Amino acid sequence: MSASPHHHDGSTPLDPAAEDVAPVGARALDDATRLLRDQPPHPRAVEIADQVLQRSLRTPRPAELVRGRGTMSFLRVSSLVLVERLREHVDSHLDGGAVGRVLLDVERDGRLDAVTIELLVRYGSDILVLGDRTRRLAAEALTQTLGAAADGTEPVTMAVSHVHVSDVTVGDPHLVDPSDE
Amino acid sequence: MSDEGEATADVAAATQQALARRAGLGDRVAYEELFRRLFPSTYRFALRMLDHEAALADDAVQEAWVKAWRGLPDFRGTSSFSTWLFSIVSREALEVRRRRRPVAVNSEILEPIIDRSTHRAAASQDPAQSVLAAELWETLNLALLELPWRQRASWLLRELEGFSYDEIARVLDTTPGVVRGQLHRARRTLAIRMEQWR
Repeated sequence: MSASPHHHDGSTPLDPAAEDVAPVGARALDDATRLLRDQPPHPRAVEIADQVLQRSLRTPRPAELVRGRGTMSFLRVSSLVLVERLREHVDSHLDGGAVGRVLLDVERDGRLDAVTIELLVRYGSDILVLGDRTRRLAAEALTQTLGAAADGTEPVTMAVSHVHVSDVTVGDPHLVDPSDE
Repeated sequence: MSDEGEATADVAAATQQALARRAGLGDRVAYEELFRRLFPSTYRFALRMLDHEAALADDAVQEAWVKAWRGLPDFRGTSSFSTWLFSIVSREALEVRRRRRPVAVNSEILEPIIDRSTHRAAASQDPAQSVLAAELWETLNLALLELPWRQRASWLLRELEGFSYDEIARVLDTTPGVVRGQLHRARRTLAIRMEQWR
């Protein structure tokens, strides 16, 4: 066996590893690794996939209740539903920008005080236009979900923060993330 | 194209990071796509880490995907989604193994055993042992079972999932240098086993 110097953490340095010790075995290992890599999915993985998927989707996420508005004030909506509706509505109507994060500021009595939407913006897009459009879309989503305010005004502070502007996506931000590029 | 059709085409073209972001915001279609892409790999990893005991692997991946769904709103994309996911699977597999096996087995305990077999392999030139080899990949399967936990995890993540040293280090909560050492020892042991059984 070749003597390999050990570091203080017990690891060995670089990797003439197997070849030095067992050259025939190293070649067999390469062949066997390729075979292993090409194996089809384990039958059990196919059998239980749907069960695992459904069970995970049924698992509740932490959430709070948000009070409906105006004539809908009796209504309580989960913050999870609200976030998903906001994302879905903004994402499906906004070109050049995608929702990165949604933060809800909910008062103790369940009143929604503010919404902050972080946007990922495609390189070359007009950020101010996207911001205004996002505010309008978010207001629509809130009205659809919580009802209209009694006096017709918009009582929720709508903040759209353009995060990742210095780290914009080149591709469609609905399909890629800044960390992909 | 229908809305549903558009959504399906949309998620199919999206990267894992984009899907994870959307799934964190409650997009179930995006989550289902992530699941479709990664579940077979997570199951394969758990099964091999748990000595091919399907019942244990079932438990580990079930818990891992439940935790992934719950944790996705807090996933910030500072690591790749698959790295984050496999770190959960790895922890769950270890937890399942601890629950079922009261005797902890770690690299340090097993190392002398591997060293002893290394000496035997070096000393033995008996070709009769070689003809006992079954299919090549079966031999590797058996050899993998002998590897200590971290070595096996490092090797599987590197060779089957294609992770970098940095990514493996994140999954196993260690450093790339340690991963390098684990992989070195794993490859050496596997190569010796392959040669011995060939």
